[in-house]
Amino acid sequence: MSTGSGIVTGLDGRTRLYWESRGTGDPVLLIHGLGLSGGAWWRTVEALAPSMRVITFDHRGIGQSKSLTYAYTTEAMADDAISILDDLAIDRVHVYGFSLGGMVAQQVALRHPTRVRSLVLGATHSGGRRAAYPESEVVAFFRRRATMPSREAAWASVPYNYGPRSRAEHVDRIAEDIDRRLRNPFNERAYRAQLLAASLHNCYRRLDRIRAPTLVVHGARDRIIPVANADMIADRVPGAQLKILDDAGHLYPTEEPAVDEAIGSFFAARR
Amino acid sequence: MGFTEDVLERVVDVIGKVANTALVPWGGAEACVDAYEMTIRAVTDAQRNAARAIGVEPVRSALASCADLTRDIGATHLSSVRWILDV
Repeated sequence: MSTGSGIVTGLDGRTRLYWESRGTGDPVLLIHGLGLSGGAWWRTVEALAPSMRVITFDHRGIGQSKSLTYAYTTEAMADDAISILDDLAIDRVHVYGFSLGGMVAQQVALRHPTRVRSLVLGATHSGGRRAAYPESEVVAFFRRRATMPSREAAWASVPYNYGPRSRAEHVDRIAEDIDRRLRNPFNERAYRAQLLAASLHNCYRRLDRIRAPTLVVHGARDRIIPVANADMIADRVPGAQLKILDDAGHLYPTEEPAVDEAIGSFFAARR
Repeated sequence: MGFTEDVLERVVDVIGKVANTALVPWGGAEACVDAYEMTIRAVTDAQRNAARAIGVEPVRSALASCADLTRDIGATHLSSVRWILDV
């Protein structure tokens, strides 16, 4: 299986974006969520790489990527994703964004519509006044999380990240996730900058301008981004399909691994 | 919803309605916000193209940083304005 990695240097000369590529075939760009490196996609990469070229990257300030400043917007993060595609000389890709990555994926589809072959929006929201926001306890935790030691923060976030069934039956899978997550040092300033980017994100009214075939995926037990957001996005994006996972929380790729096959089939049908 | 949030939401609603009405002669709030977004994109692209064309440091870095700043400040404006006007 073909693999590769590299670093794209931004025009400012300071921003550096680390990417990895695995597999051959139709390219798919995976955009991950808050505070996580591209390596957090490992389960999905395993599932998609046998039939596709899977590209992951670290957002600015996270993992092996560097940033000139610690003030981010989802627009900037979308442009970062496109600069990686430019460097790899890839014209059009399938785009799969998860959580904060889903917000970035919306911006990619709106700002660079000719580059997107199809779009999967996982466990995300569109921002703006109509988005359904989490309970105040969840918001308080994610603000507090920035100052907690990494291991403690990772385990303390489990009740928010995973649904009750996974917490009871799949502690091994949760431990694997946390082990992978802790391999990258946590960057508090980048994390706060990503929180700011997520809070400024506002695409709701423009979702009807997305032309790429779209699949919206969400766990019904998601406490971080309530499932009502998935209905809102699917209603707003023309022709969007909606897949709700009844027993899953926010990190559904861990809780319902079979969903990666369904997402692979969605991409395969849009080659 | 708490009292403060309730009052804030009503104030934002009123500001939004006034602004929407005031912008009707220019095609409405959505058209104005879209035009502002297109202007930001055009200015950002012009700065970025200039950075690529000049290619000499530190001018290239300075122009590229200006382009990023224009995009990000513009994005912050647009997000706030879209929230208030609900467009």
